[in-house]
Amino acid sequence: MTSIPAAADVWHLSRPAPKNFAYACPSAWLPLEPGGSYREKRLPLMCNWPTLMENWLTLEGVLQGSTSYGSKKATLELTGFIPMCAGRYAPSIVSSPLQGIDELVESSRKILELEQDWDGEGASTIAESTWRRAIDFLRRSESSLWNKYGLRVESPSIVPASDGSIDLHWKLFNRELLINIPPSANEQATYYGDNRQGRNSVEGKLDTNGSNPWLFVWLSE
Amino acid sequence: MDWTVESIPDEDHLYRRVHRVHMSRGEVEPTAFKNYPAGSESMSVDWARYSTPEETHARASKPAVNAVLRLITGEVRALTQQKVEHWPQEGNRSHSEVIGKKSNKLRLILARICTVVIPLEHNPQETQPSSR
Repeated sequence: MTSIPAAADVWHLSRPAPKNFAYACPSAWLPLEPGGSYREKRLPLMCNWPTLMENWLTLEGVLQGSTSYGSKKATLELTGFIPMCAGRYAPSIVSSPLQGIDELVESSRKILELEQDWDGEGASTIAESTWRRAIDFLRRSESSLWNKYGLRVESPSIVPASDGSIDLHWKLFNRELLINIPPSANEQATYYGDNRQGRNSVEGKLDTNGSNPWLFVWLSE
Repeated sequence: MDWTVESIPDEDHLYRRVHRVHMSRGEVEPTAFKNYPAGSESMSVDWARYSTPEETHARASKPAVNAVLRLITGEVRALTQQKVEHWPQEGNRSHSEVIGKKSNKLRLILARICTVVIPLEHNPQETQPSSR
C-alpha cells in the first residue's frame, strides 16, 4: 500500500513529482512517473479534454486524503491549469461560485410580472413557487459544482413557457442543455442535452431538490 | 367559410409567431415550441401557400412584440417525427398544426432548424424577461 503524497508536493506544478505519486494516481488516469515534471514532460500528454476531466476528478479524490498543505488550494491550482490547457471553451475557475447567479436571479424575476395571456395566445402566468424552484436548483447546482470540482458554467437563459413552466437553457460552444421546470412541484423536471450535433446526448428526469452536479460536469466538458 | 383541408408538401414553408420573451440575442429559444393549450398535442403554424410572413405577423394580438420564424415542412417531419397537417380556420385558411409531443429534444431541434424571417422590432423601452 502506497502512501498518498503530501498536497504541498502536488501543489507546485513545476516541481518533480513525488516519488510515490505514480502509484497514488494510476498511470492510466494521470501519466506521471516518479521524478517526472508535471509541466515540462507530462502536460502535452494531458491535453485531451475527456482525459483531463478524468484526471482532474481523480486528483480531487487523491488530494482529499492529504492535509499537509490545504487540499483545496492544491486542487484549485491543479485544476486551474487543466482547463487552461484544454482551450478557451473549457470551464473557468472564478473567485465565487455564485458570481453571476445573483444578477441572473434579479433579472429573471421579471418573468413573475407577466400577466395572464402575456403572449396574446392565452399563456399562463409564472408562479413564484416555480421560479423559486428553478432558482434554488441553479444555486444549489452551481454551489455544488464549485465546492466539489472548483468549476462553474455559464449562466443559462431563464425562459417562461406558455404552460407556466420555466426552461433553463445553456447554449455553449460544444454543449447545449435544456431543463424544463414544470409548474407542479409534484412533477420532476426533464432535461435533454447534446453536443449541438445530436450526439453525446443525455436525457431524463431530475429531482430539482438535489444538485445533480454530474449533469453540470457533463455540460462543462 | 369552410376551407378544404389539403395536404402540405414537404418542400413548403411554415410560419410561426414567436413572442419576444422567446427570443434571446436574435435567436429563437426552444421554449417557443411548446404545444398549446397545455396538455394538447399540437402547436399552431401558418402554411406559406396561404400566408405571407407579414400576414402571420399581423395576426398577432400585439405584432410589435412578436417575431416570425420559418420552418420547412419536410425537415419538421423528418427530424422530429411530427405530423404537419392543414387545419384551416375561419378567417385563416393557412392555419395548420404540428402534431406530436414536444419533448425537450424536439424543441431543441426545432430551434436549430428554424429561421427568423421577421425579427423583433427594436424597442429600447422594453426589456426581455429572458436572460442569460
